[in-house]
Amino acid sequence: MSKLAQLRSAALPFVTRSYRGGRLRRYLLLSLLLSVLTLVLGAWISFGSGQFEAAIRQGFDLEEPRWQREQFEHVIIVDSALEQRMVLAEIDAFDPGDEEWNQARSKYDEAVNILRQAAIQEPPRGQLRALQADVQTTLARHGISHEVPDPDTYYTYFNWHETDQVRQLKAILAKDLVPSVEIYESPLNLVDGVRVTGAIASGIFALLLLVAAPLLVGTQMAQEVHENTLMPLTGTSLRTRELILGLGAGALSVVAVLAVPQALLLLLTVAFVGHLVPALAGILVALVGCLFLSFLAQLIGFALGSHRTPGVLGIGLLSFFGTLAMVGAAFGLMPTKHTIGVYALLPEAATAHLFRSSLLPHEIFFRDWRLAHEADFAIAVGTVGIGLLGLLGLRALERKISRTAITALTRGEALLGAIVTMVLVVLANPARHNEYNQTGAFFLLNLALLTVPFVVFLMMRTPKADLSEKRTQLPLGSLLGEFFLWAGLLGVLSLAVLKHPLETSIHPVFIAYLAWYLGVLALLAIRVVAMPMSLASRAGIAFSAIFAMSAFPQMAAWVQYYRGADDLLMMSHMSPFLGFVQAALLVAIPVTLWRSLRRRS
Amino acid sequence: MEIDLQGLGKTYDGAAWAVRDLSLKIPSGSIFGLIGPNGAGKSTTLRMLATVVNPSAGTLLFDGQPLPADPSDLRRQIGFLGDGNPLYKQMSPSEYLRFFGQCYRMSPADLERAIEDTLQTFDLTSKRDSPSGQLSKGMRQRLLIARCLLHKPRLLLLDEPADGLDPRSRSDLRTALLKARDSGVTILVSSHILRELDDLCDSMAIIQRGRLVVSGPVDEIIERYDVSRFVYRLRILDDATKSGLERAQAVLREHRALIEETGVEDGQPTLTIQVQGDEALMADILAALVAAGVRVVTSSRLRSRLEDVYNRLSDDQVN
Repeated sequence: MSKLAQLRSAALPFVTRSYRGGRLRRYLLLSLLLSVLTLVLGAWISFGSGQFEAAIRQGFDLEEPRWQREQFEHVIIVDSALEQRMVLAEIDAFDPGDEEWNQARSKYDEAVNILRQAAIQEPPRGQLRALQADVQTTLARHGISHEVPDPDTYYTYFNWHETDQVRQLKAILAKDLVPSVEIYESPLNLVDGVRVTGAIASGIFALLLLVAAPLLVGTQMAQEVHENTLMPLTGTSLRTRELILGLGAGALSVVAVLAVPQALLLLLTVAFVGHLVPALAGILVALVGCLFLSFLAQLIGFALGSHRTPGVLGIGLLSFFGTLAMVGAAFGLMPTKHTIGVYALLPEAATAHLFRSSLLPHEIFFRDWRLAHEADFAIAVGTVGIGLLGLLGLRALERKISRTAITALTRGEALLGAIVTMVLVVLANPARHNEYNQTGAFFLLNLALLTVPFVVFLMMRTPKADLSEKRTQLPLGSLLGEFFLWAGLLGVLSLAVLKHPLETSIHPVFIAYLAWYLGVLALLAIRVVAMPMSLASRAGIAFSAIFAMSAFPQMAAWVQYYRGADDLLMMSHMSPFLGFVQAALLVAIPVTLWRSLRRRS
Repeated sequence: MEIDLQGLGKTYDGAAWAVRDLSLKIPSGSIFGLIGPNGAGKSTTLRMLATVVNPSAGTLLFDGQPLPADPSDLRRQIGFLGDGNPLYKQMSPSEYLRFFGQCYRMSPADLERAIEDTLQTFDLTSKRDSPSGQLSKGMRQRLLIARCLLHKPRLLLLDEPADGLDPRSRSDLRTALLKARDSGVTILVSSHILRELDDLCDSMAIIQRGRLVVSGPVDEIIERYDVSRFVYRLRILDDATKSGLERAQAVLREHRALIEETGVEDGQPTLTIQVQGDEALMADILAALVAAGVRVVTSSRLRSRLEDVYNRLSDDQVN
């Protein structure tokens, strides 16, 4: 049987289960409704005249903000025909000599002020000189002096190099100081409407793949574990990998019914009014991200399913993936020079950026092509990295379910995972763009972001105590060595990417403090996996973890600001006794952990 | 399928052994009972045999072949009902069987035929489209067992299969298992309810604290560990007034014999009695019965049951 046929055969029971008893019909109906909703939302956001949809259009640079149009086009924008009649009546009745304030007076004053500024400020080019002559003629025709009444209170500078100011001047002259009055309506045309519809389809597609899909996959795994229905499945003729993929396929088949029409809508719109390549790249990145997040969710569901209900885990996963999606969308849709690197770390950000680029490209990339290339590079590296992490997640899950190996990851796999995550984190770290960086601070920032993945990798490297005693002898030294090797590689990488590292030598106390922190973290990770946990040991481990975590900012602060012997034990500032306790814990925690683990090694 | 366990062991925490040094030979086409209190290691042993848990020590041989690195093909020959396997409550029996049949990679035609046959065999046809959550406990258990037999395995592993079954369902289960055994399936069934296995199993093993206490054919074990309970069955001739039976009961009371059961055999009353003493006491009782005018036709000592053997071997550790 070919690999594809095997995969199809493995997915069949789970997909059949998902679609059983008329469910497919219901999903199709829901998908149709979602597609209709996309079209309706597209039309509403494109052509609606309400403030909400206008704000969305302005957020995506599809529409100029209302105040800008009013200012630069010398126009008063109103919301109804009644309001238009009232403002027109004000303009008709307007007398420059009248002191009464209204919109007509405001626009008149604004226009006169601009004309006066333009009349006295020297224009740079011949064409603009002609425009200035027009200004002077107009002022003379209306009997308005060139002089600004009170230079101390009036802004007198007219910037002839500012396009918008020149535009405003031209509009005032064209309308001979009298503002036009327009009822507000969306400036978008049909083509824009199609682009907006495509953008909405892309958003729904991304949400389905990067939030709904991993949520469903993870919750389902948690439910199978929680209700003990996974065990009978492991006894069938499906291999463990097929079982994992099949379980995922069952949940993803539901998402697929909803997501495929959205993808088609997106591709259809970009085919006519957008750029196909970034859209296809966006779909690819979303699919890779979906697989990575799904395996991650399955690992979480498998690890916690027996301790927590699927509902509680579902809420946790929704919060986690939802937050990632929101953060990613913010970085992807509103890029800045320093946050481009985040595309490597968050597939949500990369997907949002690519979909936006396919339909509504951000101006930042038009101004700086190098930035566009940097974004492409980050996305390419990120997609490969996330894909590799996804494969590692699958391998780990496979070994955990089948319990065929004493560790979830091999040494090489864990090293690969650590290198991939450190590359992604270093790429994403905005401090990388700084001209000058404190080496230690940059390293610590990366280390802070990498602490969780490093600890997870080490836990996956630690043999579980469920095989024979001989086979599960704990290679404590080797595990610690691996952990320190990863941290060392991170140090080298951090140093390598800095343009101008400020430090050439690193303080020995910092090295010692760092070694303590890394050592305690590693021992805690190993302890959690390697030995049975009683209530007392859980409490002890939680306390040690909190103590180690609180030591990290102290270490960072000491490196950055203090560097005095008095500041090594922060708690001594509060009381000598607390300082003594801190010193005692600094010694006692690693020694206790080491001694307890030595019994198994 | 012949099963051979050689020094099998399993530890979950690297310290305590759930199963240790377990060696058994299970003949092909037999029903093998695994007896032990809760926590004795029965479920772990069955899980290792089902290849869902890897042994920490020892060897497992299936038809003389060691456990392959990829046991997926072997699993097609195994039906496994684990302890506490819940159903998917929203799925109907037919959907549930189809789901597992596809997991065993059965062809669509074979699968549909097998579903029909299995539903019929386990008397679930009328509930084929009802959600499993609405089935009675007995029906749910039947469905779980039906799932194990759906793909026609050569080895059937059942962990406490009669849990929650009413007497009729137990009887049906027994019939189904005997039928499966007759078709050549090797059946390994664990239980802590010994009466379930007494006259069902061909062979059995008693395990405690993960270790084997005894194993072999049921008759041999009972013979070997005959606990010599002094239980006798008397058949007496009685007249129409039933005075013979009353007299017998009075005599037995006088001799402090415990009447376990009364019944009728060939139209005449029988008494199953437990005598608190040796054979001499029984001889005295018989003499007293005859003296009291009770017409004793037969008096036979009953052989021990599995439960007695277990109680003796388990050192009062019966769960």
